[in-house]
Amino acid sequence: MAVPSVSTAQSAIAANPAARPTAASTIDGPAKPAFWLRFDPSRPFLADLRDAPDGLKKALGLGDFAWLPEAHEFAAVPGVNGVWSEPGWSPEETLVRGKPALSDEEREAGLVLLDPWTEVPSEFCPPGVNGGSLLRVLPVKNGAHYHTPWGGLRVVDPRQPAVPVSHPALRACWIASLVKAGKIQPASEFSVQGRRAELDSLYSTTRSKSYADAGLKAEKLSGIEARIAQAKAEVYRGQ
Amino acid sequence: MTTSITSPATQAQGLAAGVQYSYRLMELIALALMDQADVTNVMGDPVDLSGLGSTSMRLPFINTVGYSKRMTASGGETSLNAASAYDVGYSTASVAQYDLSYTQSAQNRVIGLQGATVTLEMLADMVVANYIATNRYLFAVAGSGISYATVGSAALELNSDDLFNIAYKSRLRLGAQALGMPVATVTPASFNSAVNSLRSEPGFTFNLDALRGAARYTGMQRLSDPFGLGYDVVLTNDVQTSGGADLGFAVSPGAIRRVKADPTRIQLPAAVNPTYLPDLGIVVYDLVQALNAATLGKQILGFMGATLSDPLTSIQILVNTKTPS
Repeated sequence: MAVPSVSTAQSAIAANPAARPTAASTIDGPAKPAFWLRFDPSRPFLADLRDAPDGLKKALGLGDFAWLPEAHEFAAVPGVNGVWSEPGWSPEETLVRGKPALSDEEREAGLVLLDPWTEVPSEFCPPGVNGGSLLRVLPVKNGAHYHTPWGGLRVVDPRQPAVPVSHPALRACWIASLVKAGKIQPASEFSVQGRRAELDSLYSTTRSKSYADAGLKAEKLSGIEARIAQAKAEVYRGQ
Repeated sequence: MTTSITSPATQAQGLAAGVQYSYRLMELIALALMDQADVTNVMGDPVDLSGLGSTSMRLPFINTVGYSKRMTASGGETSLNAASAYDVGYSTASVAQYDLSYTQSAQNRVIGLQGATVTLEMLADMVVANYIATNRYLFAVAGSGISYATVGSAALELNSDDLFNIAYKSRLRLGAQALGMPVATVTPASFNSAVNSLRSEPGFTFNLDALRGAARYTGMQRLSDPFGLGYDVVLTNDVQTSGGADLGFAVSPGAIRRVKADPTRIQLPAAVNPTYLPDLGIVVYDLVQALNAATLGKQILGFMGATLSDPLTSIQILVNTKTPS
């Protein structure tokens, strides 16, 4: 008859190593609140897609520049701009339960507060960043730094504060994919015309100024000319 | 390490009580005392939500009345025009509970070196600074939500064109001057970008006094009309960011409303020595610990918030510029 095995005192000790004390994050970077992404067709931005992967641009029908609706991070800070929160709610619970209601006018204008758990496919993420939910979090010394797959912090020198990173071209491709999928409205053509007119006005004003240095004036004018040329890009409609 | 968020979860507290008592804290306190860009006077009269039965309320506003509405010529000698309509809108003010506490062990109080060890009383004395820091943050977050008008481009750092545009767009909001001088809130790094841009702006290169006024380091965080364009500047790193760009803002005083609730209604027992600051919406009191914890504590409890007001009668401009690297 086999003798049943039993744990000895020695094996019990070996199975329970002393736990290493967990340390708080040592990343010296700014805390950043959780947020919704707010899309507003009347606030267009000119996306520079020259750094975006060619395959992605081809699949979406994008050129090197395109007008897209800006996606601003609308912070979920309790008590600010109608964000509701109860004591004890985590930032994530506030995102789920404390979302401020858009007014009728805002909805009619095409404003959207996007769910922070919207899935971002991996092809839109920078190298080394996995696909997954839109909202990511990085523990920092003073709390948490919430960010998107295209944001976050990079520690360059442990003695210096971490620096923010951004991948605007991939982010713009993802916004274009939302337009293509009909989840958000394209940028307003009227607003885009206004932005182009501002650039034309800036060019005229700069040209009429008296610069002590003619080279400097030429440099400024050529910079604005380049922006005017880029701004001739179409409003991206996903078609 | 960056982690994905899969579902609502408890947010770990970054700081644990008990690790804060080091001599380095003295340096931090010194920095905190310097870091006082008081924005409360820009935030106008507070909205008081005490006794409302809710943590939020609508702030109504009315437009197309007064100077925005002319009388209309009568349609005929005996037929008058129909009664006029006016526009009514609202923003939502909400209040949230904020707190901050410090503890000090009994041993630390006994063996602490007088003049060097930070005491609870020293920390409690800085409650006003805590309040200002909180309000400034709420103010900056509220300003990041402006959608009415925008200056700048997420592809370019703050520059002289943007500085002039803030003045131009402010001027278009007739009537807002009655609220007071507008204030632009930007990060110190963005301000540096703007000053750098002014070095090649003809109006400033031909006027050394103007350039000096803008570029001169003063050590202040609240700058009085530094560009001579008719608005003050507040420098703070509380300015929010989005997609690699700063969400600075320029507003009239009162365009962002401070929200509070009266803490005296808590009616704390006298044994915890409450000090009520009802105008600020906060109360400071002794933190009652279990006797076997051998610690003493101070608690600051506040009921605070901030919200954007009417964009049609106040200046509200988002200053959306590339975050300087």
